[in-house]
Amino acid sequence: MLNILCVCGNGMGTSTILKINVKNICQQNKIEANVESCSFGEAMAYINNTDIVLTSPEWAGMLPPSNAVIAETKNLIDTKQVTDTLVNAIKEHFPNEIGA
Amino acid sequence: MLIKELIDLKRVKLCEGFDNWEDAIEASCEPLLEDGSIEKSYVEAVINCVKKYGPYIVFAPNIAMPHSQEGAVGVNDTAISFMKVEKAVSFEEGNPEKDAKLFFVLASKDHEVHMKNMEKLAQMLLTNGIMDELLEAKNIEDLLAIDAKYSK
Repeated sequence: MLNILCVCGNGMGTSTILKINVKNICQQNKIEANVESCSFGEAMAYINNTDIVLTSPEWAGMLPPSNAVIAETKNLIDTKQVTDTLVNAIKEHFPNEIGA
Repeated sequence: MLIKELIDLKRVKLCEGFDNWEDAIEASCEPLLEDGSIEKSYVEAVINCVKKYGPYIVFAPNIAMPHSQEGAVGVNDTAISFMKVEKAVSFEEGNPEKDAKLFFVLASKDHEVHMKNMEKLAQMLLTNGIMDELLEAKNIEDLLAIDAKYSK
């Protein structure tokens, strides 16, 4: 089970859309994951329990330091782009969580 | 779908173009100002967010989602408004990836209601083809036809 965190500036807009998209993607690709969203200000509180952070390039550089894998996607509603970003990050860092 | 709901609530605008992104954001917020969902202070907060953090509210080509925070000052209700602009609005000079023609303004007073709104918005944003058709829409009739087509 992976913990995925979607991060944006205020935690009410883009990260919420991304969370809904990622939840669908996990379901379709049989990835077991808890998917949450928050603002980058709140990320500090969650990031240590997070395996993968999905965010747009604007925020990637502003995240607090952690062991979480940071995956960036420019277009948050391009399902193919988000799927590729997420699946590649999982394959590279958490190969046991996918492809079963 | 969401578009028809917003038309019924008079939270839809079609415009030709704007001199700058600040004017575009102000215009996109007008329906919510007029029905009292938000106040001028929220519009200013939304504009200041972009000034502070950059044009991250343009989260996909052509699509912007002006908003600041849940429960922000100047928010009286939980709502979405939609504006379509004929001439792309530039948010970052020299970066057409941050041009926008479709604006979805978000305001949230109640988290649960906001999440329901976002589910509806996400469902629409994630429907293949619908954004391309919204970009071509010229009037309310076009918008209603698109909504009907994808509601099937």
